[in-house]
Amino acid sequence: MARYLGGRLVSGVVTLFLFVTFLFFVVAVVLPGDWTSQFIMTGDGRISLQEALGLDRPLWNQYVDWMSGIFTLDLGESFTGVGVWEMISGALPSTLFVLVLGVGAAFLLGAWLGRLSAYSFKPPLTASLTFVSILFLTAFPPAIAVAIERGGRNWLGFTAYNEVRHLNQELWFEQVASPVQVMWRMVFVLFATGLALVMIRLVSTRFLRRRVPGWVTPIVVVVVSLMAWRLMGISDLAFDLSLAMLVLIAGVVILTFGEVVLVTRAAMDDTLLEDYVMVARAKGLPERQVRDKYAARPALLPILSRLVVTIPYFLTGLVILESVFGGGGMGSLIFNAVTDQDIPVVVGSLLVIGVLTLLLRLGLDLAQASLDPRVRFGEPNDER
Amino acid sequence: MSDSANRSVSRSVSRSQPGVVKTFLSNRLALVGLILIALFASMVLAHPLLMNTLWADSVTIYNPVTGYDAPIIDMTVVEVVEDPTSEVSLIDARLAGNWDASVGDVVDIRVQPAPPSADHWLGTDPFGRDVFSMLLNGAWPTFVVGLSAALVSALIGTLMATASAVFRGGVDRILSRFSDVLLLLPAPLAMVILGGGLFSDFLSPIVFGTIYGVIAGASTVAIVLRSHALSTVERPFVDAARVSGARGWYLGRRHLMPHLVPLAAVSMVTAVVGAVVAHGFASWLAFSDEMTNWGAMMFIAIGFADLQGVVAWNVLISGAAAISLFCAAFYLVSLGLKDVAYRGAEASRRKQGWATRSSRSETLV
Repeated sequence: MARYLGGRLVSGVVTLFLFVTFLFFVVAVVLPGDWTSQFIMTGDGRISLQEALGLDRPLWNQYVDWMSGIFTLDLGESFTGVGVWEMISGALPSTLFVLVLGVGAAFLLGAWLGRLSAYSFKPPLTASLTFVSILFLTAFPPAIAVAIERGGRNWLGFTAYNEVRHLNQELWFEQVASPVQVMWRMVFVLFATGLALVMIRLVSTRFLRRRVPGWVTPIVVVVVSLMAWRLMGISDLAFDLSLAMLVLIAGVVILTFGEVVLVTRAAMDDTLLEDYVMVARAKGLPERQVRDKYAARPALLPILSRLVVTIPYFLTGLVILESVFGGGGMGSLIFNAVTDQDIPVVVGSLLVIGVLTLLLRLGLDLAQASLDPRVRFGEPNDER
Repeated sequence: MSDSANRSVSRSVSRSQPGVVKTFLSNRLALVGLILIALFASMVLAHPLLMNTLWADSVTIYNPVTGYDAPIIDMTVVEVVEDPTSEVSLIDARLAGNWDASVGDVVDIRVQPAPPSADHWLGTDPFGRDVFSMLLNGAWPTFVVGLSAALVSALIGTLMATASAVFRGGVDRILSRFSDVLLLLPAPLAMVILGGGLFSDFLSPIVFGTIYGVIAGASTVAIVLRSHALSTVERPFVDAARVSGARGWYLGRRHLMPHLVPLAAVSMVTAVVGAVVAHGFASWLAFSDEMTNWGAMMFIAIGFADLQGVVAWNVLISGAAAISLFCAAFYLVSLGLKDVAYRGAEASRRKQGWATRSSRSETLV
């Protein structure tokens, strides 16, 4: 197990290194012009700017600089003069929070609906579930975002986390902490809880031979988060922020759960044919137990390996949502940078999204290894 | 949808394999998708036909880019406008030419955007252009983007998967590492960034689709096809071919690629969905030079909402529904293709046990 995970980690680092090299190659070689050609500038002015930015040196030198900059989290400067990492660290927590909660909720909901749909013997239920999943899977993301945004604003009267002005002014007026700082703490609590849960699960499965039921996870996450917020004294602020981010989370759930339903369903169609399912039914186990413990558990594996490929698309969906709602997260950061042709910010954001994808993939590898003994004890580089 | 118990029985009982077409058509969802695609294809044909026949006398009205028409609608003059579709304020009524209008009168107002009417089946947009004509006109660029992305991604994905499976070792390691790296760069996002900043000047639909196809084909499609190719290359007939002297590309071309075709077709169809969404999104952000595709229609509807005080729902819904239905059509067809691809996998699974057991679910979506 440790050997397998170590292998995945090393391979992830190598992939990341190559990805960074790839981004450098695209920016420095493929794209016409350089950073200075963004400004209308010719002759001496441009040359002196190139010298100031170090763009006149050989490519190799620039590459080494770029690499060492990334390892010290120095992603360069935006054209607005602000550090790129500074801009990203302001936008990242909201994206992380929404992504983790949204994809997590979508996964739980989708897996449950998929199980229901695959195991149901009532055609109206199955057909309508399939219809709804396909509808949400293929719906144009900006259309959904617009529908949520307009509908939410006009009929329900709530606003998305946008900028500070959308938050409860009275609450934030006398606070020392800025929304970004509070949000970083919320993200920290979320990740610490998640990590602790994974550890507890592993230990209890491995040594106590008892499985923690799946419904415990969301409850523990909510309860621990609430308690931690209270202990840190940011309860009110965190509530205000999460209320504002609720719309985005709902959007992510709507965009992603359809895919999970359909993949679960297809995977269950496979496992339902297995003999052990028939044995389980024949010996008179309750249908629920057959469905959840016998048919659905092996079906998790193809879902996980499918998620590896689709995670970048989930991230894109979130980025699209954020850019529609405006302000706040990575989405609007990227699209504002694209509109302003602010290349350092665009490249930095792509890098951060790449790292996020990689971390999520490592998490999926961990999940897969804990579920599937063939992965745990098998050859590390056997299948992708 | 029949229930799963029935299907499992029929699947394990039917020993003789039905034909490809029959397998495809027996999936009713796939049939719906095929009909939808036919509908969109007829939209492509309908636009030039209508422009040359029915709309030939009034090209200035129905041209999807430069046309203009502001239909006249009866509106009531009121003090405070509550329903902007049937009421108009006194100042606006007088500014529109009804100098002697007073509160309570019914006056003729030229509106733009206009709701659906007999002349304009889906109304007009904020520029006064016919929405139905714009909708028909947007079908062709969407097809071009989708189909070029599909072809390029399937080609690249199949070639990379074949090379991986045939040559193994170093070639496989380099290619799959390359796929892993590209997977960190989400194709739709990359396309939007390209369209937005640097290449927007020459990012025509076909170039857009091709670049998307390269990125998606070398990452997602190659990864999915590679695992299938690796399990196919273990099968006895490949050994037989090797024994009789087949090597390298010949082996890949003659013996491996035919087995990748069904799965490649599935990936092709899903690439259409991704490319069309990316293109729609780039146009929706106004990062596209042609202003009349479906994404741009949504941009126009939202972009002028604040200016004119009313969201042009007819434009917004037409564009959004067209893109969503287009994607849904190709997704539904991919379900049918998956049945066809699975038909072969099912046969080999019976012979082989576990080798291909999760091939179907892994390629879904």
